[in-house]
Amino acid sequence: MKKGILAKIVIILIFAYLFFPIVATLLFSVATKWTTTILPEGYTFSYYQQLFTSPEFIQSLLRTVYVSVITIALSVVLIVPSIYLTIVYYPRLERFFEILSVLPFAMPGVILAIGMIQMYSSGPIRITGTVWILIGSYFVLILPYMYQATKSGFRAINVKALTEAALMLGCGKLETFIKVILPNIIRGVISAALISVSVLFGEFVLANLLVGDNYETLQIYLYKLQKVDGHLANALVASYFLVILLLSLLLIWLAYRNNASAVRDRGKTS
Amino acid sequence: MNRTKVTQFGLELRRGGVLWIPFLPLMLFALGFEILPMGYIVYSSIHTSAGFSLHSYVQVLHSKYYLISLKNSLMVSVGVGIIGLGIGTVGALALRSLGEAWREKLLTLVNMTSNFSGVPLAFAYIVLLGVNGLMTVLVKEKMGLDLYGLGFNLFSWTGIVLVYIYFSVPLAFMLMYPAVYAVRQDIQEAAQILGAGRSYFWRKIGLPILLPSMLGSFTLLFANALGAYATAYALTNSNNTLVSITIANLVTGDIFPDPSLASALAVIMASLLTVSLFINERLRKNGGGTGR
Repeated sequence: MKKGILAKIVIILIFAYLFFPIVATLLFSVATKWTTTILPEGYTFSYYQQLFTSPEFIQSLLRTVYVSVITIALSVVLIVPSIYLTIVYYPRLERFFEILSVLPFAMPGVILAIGMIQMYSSGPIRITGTVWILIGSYFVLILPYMYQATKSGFRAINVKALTEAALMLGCGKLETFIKVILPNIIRGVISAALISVSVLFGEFVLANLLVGDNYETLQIYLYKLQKVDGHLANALVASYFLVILLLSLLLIWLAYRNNASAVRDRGKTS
Repeated sequence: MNRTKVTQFGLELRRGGVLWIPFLPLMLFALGFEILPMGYIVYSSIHTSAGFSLHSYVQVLHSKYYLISLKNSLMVSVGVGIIGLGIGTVGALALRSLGEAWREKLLTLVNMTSNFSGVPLAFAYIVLLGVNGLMTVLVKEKMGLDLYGLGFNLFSWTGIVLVYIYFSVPLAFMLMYPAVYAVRQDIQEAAQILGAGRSYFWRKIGLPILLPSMLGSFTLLFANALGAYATAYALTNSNNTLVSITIANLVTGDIFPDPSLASALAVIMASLLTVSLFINERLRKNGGGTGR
């Protein structure tokens, strides 16, 4: 009994610690005046209104959305078929994927960035400061997440049996992939894409070092805004966190639906 | 042995026909933006204008400034790793003893806060604990405590460590949560029946069971803190010398750019990361490490 209470106190303390900055940010973003009281003295949405009508904000948001969508689309197009082919035809190439998705852990953004700056600032390919280098580096950045989440989508079905059955029934190889495999793993792919969105929306290091002012992403805009207007920057942080919250909820819902449908299917076969 | 491997791979290739073609663009990207840049850093670290030499490494080892930035990073990462691990482990143990319905929900919340890092996190802390931060002012008015007068400064090491701990805790929590189940209820009960008190149990049985996973989690927390850049950059305007910030300044800074030196520091940092990840991998193979 005593132990249960102690555990609850510990959990409450840790959660208070973790959520304190988040709640304060959210409250501060709607506070008119908040200096010496526990809670704000009045509430307003004017900071959000100012933020969302600011052209600089819209521009940076669009840039981040643009670079994220292109990178993730490219990543899906290149990675999903490759994982499928690895499972069915080239099991040995799995090692290759594993190495690629472990490497970023030994090479954080800073190291990756200075390597790329040195490589691509001179010589035949000069792309430092352009959106191309950002897309390339983001591709590498999200590769581990894309690989893991997509792979777990593949793990949920028997890829080989499905492929063999489809081929035997006269389906072409491409048709098998598009009409049989893809619908079965699409949720894994969506999870992978959502995780990547949350990673890319929070990315600062590569953007700051590789393109900086030439391609001002959301995080770079936030970094600059913070020095100019604290209230607007705070509204941006609050909105950023709300987006992350939304993405997390979507991911949980997807995972839950996966589990629920798996349970249902098992029920059907037995 | 080797030969059969080769022939098997050949078989795989023939069976697939031209299906290896989709791998080409993927390999191109991986090569261009992951493998070659890494190789280039190694090359650049041993290549100066005078040709091949280890001059940059010698320079690092003889410069107080670079050694201090390495030492700072190591100390911050180790300290943050230990504190984060402590809080995360205690939290994971506490979470285990709650009801099942709560566990999943709370774990999802922790997972969500782990996304809160970098510039937004630094800014949230500035709003709270900056010179005119909400907490700073509130504590001053209500309790008469002048934090900054007492030597607290968010834009210094104190702040960096404070914020680093914040982003380490959710990670430690999630890494240790599966691991604490190794201390099974029946072991605990058996020890109790045999007369072991709570503290005796944790000292002699509980902690030794958890130790390999704790070490594994620590290596990941350490690596995460060592590689971090955005948080410290946003907080201290690149004044405090952490090695990640020093590396970036050496390449992008306008004053003394020295890519070769930056590469040497980067190689040293990457080696440290590789060693710590390797330790975790070994622990994991023996059933102890955590993550991924």
